Amino acid sequence: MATTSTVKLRSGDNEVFEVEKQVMIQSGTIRNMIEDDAADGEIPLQISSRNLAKVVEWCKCMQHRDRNNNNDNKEEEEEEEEWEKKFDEEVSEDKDLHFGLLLAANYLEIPALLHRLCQLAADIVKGKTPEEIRRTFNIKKDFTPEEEEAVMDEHGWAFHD
Amino acid sequence: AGNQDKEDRISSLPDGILCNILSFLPFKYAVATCILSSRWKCVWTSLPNLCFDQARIMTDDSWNSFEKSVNMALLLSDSAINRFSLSSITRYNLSQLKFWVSSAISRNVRELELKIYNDCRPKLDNLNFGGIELPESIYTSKTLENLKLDLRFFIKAPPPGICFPSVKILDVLIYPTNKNLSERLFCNCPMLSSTAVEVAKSGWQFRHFNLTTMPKLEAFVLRMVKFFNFKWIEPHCAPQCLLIRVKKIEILSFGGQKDEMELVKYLLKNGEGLNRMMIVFTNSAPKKKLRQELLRLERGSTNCEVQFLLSLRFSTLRSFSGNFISLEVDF
Repeated sequence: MATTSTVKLRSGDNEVFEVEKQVMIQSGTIRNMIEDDAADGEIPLQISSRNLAKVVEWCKCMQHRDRNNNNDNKEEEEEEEEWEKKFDEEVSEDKDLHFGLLLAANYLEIPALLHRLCQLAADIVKGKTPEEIRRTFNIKKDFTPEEEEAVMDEHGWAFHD
Repeated sequence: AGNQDKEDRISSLPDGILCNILSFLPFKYAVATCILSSRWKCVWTSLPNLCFDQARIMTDDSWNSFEKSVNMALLLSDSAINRFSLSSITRYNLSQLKFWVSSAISRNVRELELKIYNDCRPKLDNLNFGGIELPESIYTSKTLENLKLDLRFFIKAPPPGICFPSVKILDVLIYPTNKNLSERLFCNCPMLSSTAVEVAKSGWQFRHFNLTTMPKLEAFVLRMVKFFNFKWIEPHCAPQCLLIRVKKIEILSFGGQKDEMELVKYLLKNGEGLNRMMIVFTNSAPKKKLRQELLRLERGSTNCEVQFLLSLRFSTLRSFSGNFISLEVDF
């Protein structure tokens, strides 16, 4: 029977984060473990401490926001908005962090975080030509000229405005 | 970090995440990611929302590739489709259409929208060739909840008695129409909450739009068509859903003829649960006079607001409020 109100998460590089269960139930994966009473020891996660710290920070911020949703505290609201804006900027500028968090949010099943991160990735893709997208994400074009032409042919309608 | 910067992290993400990212792009741009690399060639085909919306007239080549893309999306994946929408001006016969629709239905599509115009004016042979048949599965699907048909060619009426067991929103605008079509489409819609129907032949009356077959109807829009004489015949008794359930009605292209007036009078009087009646005038309607006349009409509901709008673009089928659909009245 689970009695403590916190849960311990161990990152891939062996850093332990002790977080309130109330915060981490935003993660479907961890919520299931808590419900199955499998969260009493440390939960080992294949997520780097840097990324895990960010996930925890995000979960705390969201939980704080949800809890304060009914209060009309303008100052706190602004603070949260500021935090989210900073989060968006930081993630958009740091691919390592961005894709690491995407995998973490996917693995931990945190739909709202996954949604936000995918949206940010789409914002980066938006308005770019295929060549610009490749350059931005270091995608290597592995088509032969013939193959490329065939793909263009197959979906030609999608390449013209 | 020099090497890390050169790493292609995005392509190593699992398909599910890539699809999630692509779902934030307009569908066409999501399809265009197929050119990035072989990793990306088919990712877009697993998107839950397949929205082939191409309003422009296409060249032969574009049309061919459009067809190929639709086929690819429907054949390469077998996951459930949330939304399949097809909007195009076609220059060819639509033998493919039936296949596409039945493929989408067999993948448990929830929302289906077909908006297909022919770029040549309908010729007599087009009217006489018997029409395009939609697959029977569209009428019996248990997953289909939202159906919008905006078609500019002849659709064969479904066999009698077939219904839409799960459809909540039904939006039908078809030219030219088969006189049986609307009656059969609406013959039994147990879940329908908001609807549209269009019949472009004279002889159709409001009573044929049988509200008693739609016990859950909450909102509808009637759009008047000017080409025919609308004939209003008052039903013997008001249908239950109009008395209790219907909250919103919009009348589009209201010109103010006697029968139109009678219809509005009837709806306002019997709509005891109405919150809002919106009337959109035709350009030539004597708006000031009609407005006064309409505001004087007896209302069955004390909460009913009557609102007016000067005019609306002709092409607008679905009006301002998202849960509204237009019901096109033939007259």
